[in-house]
Amino acid sequence: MHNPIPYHPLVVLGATFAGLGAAYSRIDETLILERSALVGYEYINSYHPGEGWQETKLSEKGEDLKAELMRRQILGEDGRVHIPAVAPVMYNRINHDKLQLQFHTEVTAIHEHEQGWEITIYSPSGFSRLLAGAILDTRPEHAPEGAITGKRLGAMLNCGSDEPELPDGETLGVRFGRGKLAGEVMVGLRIEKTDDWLAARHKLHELWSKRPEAWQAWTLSAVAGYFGYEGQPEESSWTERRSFLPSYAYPNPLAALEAGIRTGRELTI
Amino acid sequence: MILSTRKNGELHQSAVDSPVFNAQYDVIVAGLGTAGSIALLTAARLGLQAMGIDRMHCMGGMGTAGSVNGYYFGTKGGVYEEVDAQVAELIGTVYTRSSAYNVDAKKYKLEQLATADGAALAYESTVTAVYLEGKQVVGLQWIGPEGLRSASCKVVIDCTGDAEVCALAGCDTSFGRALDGRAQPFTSVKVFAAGDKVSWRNFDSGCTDQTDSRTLTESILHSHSQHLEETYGEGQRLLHLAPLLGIREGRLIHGEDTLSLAAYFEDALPEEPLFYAYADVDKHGRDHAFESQALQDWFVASNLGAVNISVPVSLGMMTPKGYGGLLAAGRCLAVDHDLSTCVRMNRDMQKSGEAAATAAWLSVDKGVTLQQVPYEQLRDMLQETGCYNPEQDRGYQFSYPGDRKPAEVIHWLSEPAAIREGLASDRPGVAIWSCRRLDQGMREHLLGWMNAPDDQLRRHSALALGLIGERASLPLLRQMIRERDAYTLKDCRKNNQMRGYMAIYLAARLQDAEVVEDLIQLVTDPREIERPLYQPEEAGSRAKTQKYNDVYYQFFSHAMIGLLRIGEFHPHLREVIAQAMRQAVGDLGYIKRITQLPFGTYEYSIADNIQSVAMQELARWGSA
Repeated sequence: MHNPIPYHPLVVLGATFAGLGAAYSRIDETLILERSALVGYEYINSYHPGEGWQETKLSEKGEDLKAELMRRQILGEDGRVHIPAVAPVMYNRINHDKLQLQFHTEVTAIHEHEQGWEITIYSPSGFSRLLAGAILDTRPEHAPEGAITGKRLGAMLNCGSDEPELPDGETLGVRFGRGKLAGEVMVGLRIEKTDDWLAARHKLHELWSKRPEAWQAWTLSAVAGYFGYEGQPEESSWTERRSFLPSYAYPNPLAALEAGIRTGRELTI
Repeated sequence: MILSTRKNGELHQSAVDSPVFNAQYDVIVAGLGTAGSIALLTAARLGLQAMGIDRMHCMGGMGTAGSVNGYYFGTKGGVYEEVDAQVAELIGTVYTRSSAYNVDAKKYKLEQLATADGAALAYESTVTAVYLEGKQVVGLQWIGPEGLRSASCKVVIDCTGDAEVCALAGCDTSFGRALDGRAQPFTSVKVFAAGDKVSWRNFDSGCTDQTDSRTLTESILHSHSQHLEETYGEGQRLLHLAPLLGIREGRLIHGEDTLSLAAYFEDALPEEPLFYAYADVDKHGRDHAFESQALQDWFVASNLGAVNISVPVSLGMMTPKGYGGLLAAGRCLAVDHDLSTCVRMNRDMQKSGEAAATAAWLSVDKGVTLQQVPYEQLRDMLQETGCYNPEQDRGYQFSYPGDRKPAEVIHWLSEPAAIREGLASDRPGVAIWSCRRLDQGMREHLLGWMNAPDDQLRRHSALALGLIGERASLPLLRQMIRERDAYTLKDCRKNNQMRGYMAIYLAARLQDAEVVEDLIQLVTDPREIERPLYQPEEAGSRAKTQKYNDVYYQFFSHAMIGLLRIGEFHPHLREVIAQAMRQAVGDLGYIKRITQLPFGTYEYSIADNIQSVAMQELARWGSA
């Protein structure tokens, strides 16, 4: 009998690096559902460049991505990275590699189904249903209780033409970091896990309005488009053909991608 | 009660018994973009229990999250200017300077002002359904971080940009132009740090249908991919790609009043304006030949594409026809595709939000329907804030962005001597359009001037005659086509047209069978591209660097569409036309002559679309 509901062996929730990695492990079998129009946002749009890029053990796919980032001078030998430029690389790869992805798609319900899971989504085309053999959830907002240990709101600074000396460690809840390019300075303000965007923006604004004298010349160029989350990286386990992978918790995007690739490969469909 | 939603692309309505709403409000603003943010702020300020819903996690839409932070025309005054003034105070102190305002400063200020007046916010939320009592909207359902939620309300202001709530409620809407359903091209924005400023750059990436999930996803991937640079070095430091595409046109509501560009030209204007929109017919696309006759008469045949027009916007243009409790603000106002090119600028869309919220307040405060809101009182309230200003009814003007030069008011001509002088110049547009307004009143003069020794006067008189439907213009129009008349008129600061393809448009408009042979030769002869007029003037020219030959594209596309128009009126010519068209666009060779840019670029898409439209029309003839 014809089944009118489309079936995908694996549905990934969230176009995070881990989600993209899982999709790369099974390109033809995987559909990624993403509520925004962003990819890899838990690093790129949160201005969280990560660390240990050069130390991460990589698969062929990961090596290929790393090589491109280095060739385009986005990633340096010293491990410093121009994180915003990773976005067009990933869009281009998704396009070129024909990953199946659907932006602006909300997941409104998930129910068990004899073929695995029935997912109800709402997209610009309205409500529709699809079937999944397995679901890998990589959305930080849907992390299990306790999986998120910290949350930050990031921003890019304008520090003028100088390469300023940055405070070490954390000052007033602010952690500073440098990108690869001259003058590329990022901050991450620690906020409460329960803070929403209204509260988070207000905290950053208030702090920066009353910032210390030493920071006076530094202004906010761009506030991050996604929260930075902290947690412990975990190898996922497939339970009832469903798993969660904390893409935000790995040392860097390549490590998150690799975790996704491994998780995808471990799934038996 | 009816729950009205969309399933698998189709409207789906079902009866529901007494739903339990999670909350109730006077007003729900759906979409907190350019219009919606000001609507919410205004509603809350007036004392309404107001809530705003937005897909993003901020207010301001394209003007903040989309990073298009400059103003291109529109009219000044109103609540938004007060917001902008407060945003300006934060620049250079907390937030980095930008080309206009820092978008993060505006995000912050908008939500602080709205919530200070009691507005509730539902960010990262998407409207999924509308509750109706008959045709009265009484509530909304949305999906957000807490799952599906619903609330009742007295008024919904649909500021989604795409009339999403109106469409979910079942209101009539339209999308795109008549010929092929395409809307204006969208833009994709990258934001970067340059020196001590934040700046942005955008390019048009093609046309999309943002109401279709798959098409929208493809557009996002294609356009964002095009921002990829070979290497990233010092100088311009990328900050981010805008998370919103710059969609210029979406669904347009059918309102209690609906204003078309054609009606505007006939001075058939709404009588109760709430504010004035002000811009040129800023259609962005290069595929003029695919537009309506009204638009091409103005843009192509009269070369007035960069003239600004003042468009009065009434409450009826914000009210979906036949529905209660529902207003629309933003780029989905009740105008047609042609006029939507103009009625969409950031200043004006902010005003539409203010006007809609003020109307909602009067409706709630007086306990009357939106249709019964007293115009005089609404107008006076808007005049007090500067949103409505009768002095902004400026008619037609040659105007310049950023006030680079003083605007020149256009007075249509009626004296033959003045028209003759205009036609004899390199700026004949006002004279040509004046002839159109006078119609047959200038016919005899124009016929005489076609035989004058002044070549400019002769040719421009033929253009004017062609526009009023006079076939006596055809010999001279045909001559301009045969010569590939490469003279570019000079009326406008941009979008000036070339006489050769202006003549093609007019000859086809006159259904001239005799021009078919020339047009067939133009689209099928492989040596056509070798003509001097198609050669870039210099090595570093824009055409060459952009890998796009606009002059060839204009001649080719006007000729193709012209052949279709002529075939429409001369069925006996269809076979020969169909054969030529298949030869012209049967393979992708013609695209390579137009552009060397790849699939996914705007230039490729308009070249590719010639084939699609041609095949569609030939199929309709039964000749595919």
